[in-house]
Amino acid sequence: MAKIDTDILKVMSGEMSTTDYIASQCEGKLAHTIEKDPDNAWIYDLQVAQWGQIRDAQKNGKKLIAFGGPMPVDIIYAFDCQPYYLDQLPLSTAPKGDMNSKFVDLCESKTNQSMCSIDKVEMGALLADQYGLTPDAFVYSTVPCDSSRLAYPIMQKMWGCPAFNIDLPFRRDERGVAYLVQQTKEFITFMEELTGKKLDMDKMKASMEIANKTNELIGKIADLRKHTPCPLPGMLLVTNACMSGMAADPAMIPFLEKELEMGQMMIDMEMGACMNGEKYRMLFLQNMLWTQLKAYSYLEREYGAICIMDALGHYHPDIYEHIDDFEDCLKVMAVKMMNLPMIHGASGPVEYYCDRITYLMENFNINTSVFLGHVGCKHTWASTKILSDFIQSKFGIPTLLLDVDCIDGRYKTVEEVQDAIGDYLTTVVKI
Amino acid sequence: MDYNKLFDAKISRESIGAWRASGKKALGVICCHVPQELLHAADILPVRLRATGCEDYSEAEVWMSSFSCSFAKSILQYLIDDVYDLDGYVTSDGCMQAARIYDNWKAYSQNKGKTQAIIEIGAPRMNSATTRAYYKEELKVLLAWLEKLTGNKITDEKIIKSVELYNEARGLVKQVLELQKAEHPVITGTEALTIMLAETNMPVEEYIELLKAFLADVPNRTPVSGHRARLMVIGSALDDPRFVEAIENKGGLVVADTLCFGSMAFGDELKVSHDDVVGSIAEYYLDRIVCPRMIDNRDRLHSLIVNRATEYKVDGLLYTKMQNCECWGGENTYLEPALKDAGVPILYLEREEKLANIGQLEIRVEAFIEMVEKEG
Repeated sequence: MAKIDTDILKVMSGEMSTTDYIASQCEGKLAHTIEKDPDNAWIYDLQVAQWGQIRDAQKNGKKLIAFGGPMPVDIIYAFDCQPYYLDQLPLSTAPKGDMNSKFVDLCESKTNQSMCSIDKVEMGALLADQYGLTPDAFVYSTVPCDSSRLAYPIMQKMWGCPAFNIDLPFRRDERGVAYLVQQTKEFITFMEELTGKKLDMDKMKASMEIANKTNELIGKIADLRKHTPCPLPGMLLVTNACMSGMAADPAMIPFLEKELEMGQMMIDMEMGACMNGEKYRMLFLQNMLWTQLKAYSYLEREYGAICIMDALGHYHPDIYEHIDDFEDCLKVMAVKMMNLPMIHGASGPVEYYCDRITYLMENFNINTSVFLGHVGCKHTWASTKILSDFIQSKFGIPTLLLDVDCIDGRYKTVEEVQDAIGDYLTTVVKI
Repeated sequence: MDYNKLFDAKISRESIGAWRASGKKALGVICCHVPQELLHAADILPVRLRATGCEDYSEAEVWMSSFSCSFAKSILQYLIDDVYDLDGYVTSDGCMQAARIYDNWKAYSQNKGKTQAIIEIGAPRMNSATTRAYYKEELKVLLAWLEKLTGNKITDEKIIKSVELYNEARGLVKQVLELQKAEHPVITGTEALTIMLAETNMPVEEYIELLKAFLADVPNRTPVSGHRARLMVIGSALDDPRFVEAIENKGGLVVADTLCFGSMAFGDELKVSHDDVVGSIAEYYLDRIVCPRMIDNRDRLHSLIVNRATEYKVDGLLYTKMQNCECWGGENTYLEPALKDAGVPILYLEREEKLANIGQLEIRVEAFIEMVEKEG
């Protein structure tokens, strides 16, 4: 008989906070994995660290800084504060359908049905007063989208904590970089006022060095995915999202080192993640299957179809080259913000999206293109014909357009998603 | 002077054609964050693009998907259908779907081998000294582009003259809107919206003359009577007076709005600093409240809505959100309690650019009017 998750019932009834729930779930999974499958415990180490740090930050005397969209997170670490990337909440709870549904429905009762479910869960959890914490500050940018710009100011008002905003420039040029550098300096002033201490440059350098290390590792892991057969399963791409909030967190390093080691070992053993052989090397042009995680392994097993990379989850490993030159580092931070997933392709003129796809198509030996479009990303959907035409003309590959809700599993079941992709592979791509 | 042109909501190629026939350029404008004064100063006719009457945007939907808002799709459809007779267009990244009109039209027109002058400027989504400085530079980029396009040098003096003209139009529109404060106004809400839409596709000089003629004739107009409730309309882009007409046919009288094709498109006087002409325009446009696209204007927007509802003595407020419009997707969270405190009931209406489900709209509005109408 399946074990009942009694804690989720507590979340559903409002007795337990989302933070406590996710943190305890991660700890439980880690304990279970250590006992049953210790070689894979590293996957949960990161999640335990992440959610434990968020849950316990204020107890440990650290200020908790909630953030949304691209922000210079490395600076938050340099101030000894704990960042909380709000998207991690819906992404972590996406497989827990009932729980997400509760927050989605609650948010819809106050806003509207068409907004992005990522924001619905973030705002819904606050409307339910189930974060279990109040951040010391809420800092967010004007993108990724109209939906976040709807939700965040409301959440800021509900939390009533100090807030800071950064406006992302429309174009990614030198003036855009200077614009972000100026705002990042203002952010430092904000953090200094919030914490009551000046930015410690030694701590800043330490933070940037960790970020360099994690970025270097995420770049190397991406390089492994270029190999045929791909040594790493598609599902592991989901963990890339941790980079948005944890690039300067020491806990990221062992996780990424282990992932790199595992991938390299697979290559050395001439093995791929598809147990029955690799046929389809898929590029997901938009989001990941957060609610339908099982689809990754199903497609790998049944069709030899592996997600090599997804365009919005692809991290551009930007490195601080001159760590003693802070002005130069600020420029790198600006570039990092502009290169962040959900930003690099989705905001600004569509040419940036096409450039990113070109890079991925040319470097990752892709033979199958799927626009797995989150229904909340309407502005990204509004570029689908341009993208699919571009891929067809430049690479001769057709693109499947498939709508999913990456957070609200009620929109489409895992079986529907699997079937749609499977049918496409066997009737259109036909390798 | 015959001012009836003010009451024609159809998109007219007549004024645009006449303008272009004189050898001058006409450019479409998308979103309120493109200062039309700058185009005017370059001797260009700015034509604020709207999609009034667009009933079929199926080709645009192929480009923008069913998940985009129908206003954006309809604008793209009208560009595809060549409804306007333009030399190109200028847009800002107002909301992210409207911004995609730029990408799609660029791709479409390139596919079709059409030569179009198009530019998209970045309009910051928050208002601070840093963002105003950035926007000012964006406006300078626009000015340089306009100069290159027309060969006309755009001096500060020309810009100031253009601002003065647009300010005159703003002042006259304000007088029109003041008329709606009367218990029995001499214009309906349908007429008020139509008058404001008329500005979108005619030279501002002509618009000013028509407004003056209309205002001079106000004493001769018959006051509107027989309405059961005074209403205010807020929400997403609404460029079709037939929507307001449907409301008024059921006994409502729309006396106020905060629509980006209505009163918000005009706003208050733009005060130009002669020391920093472009800078003061940047400041005005970022500070001016138009819609919730900005990240930091919600409290001011809500205050404006509540104050306007009180000032115009409205009995109820219609919050009309375009399906898939996120900018206007969540204002009710804080606006509803504020309106409740002010004693203003609210009705939510989701709509599309085309007038679908007009019967349902009429039923809902009629029921709302029955709820809010004052006895006696």
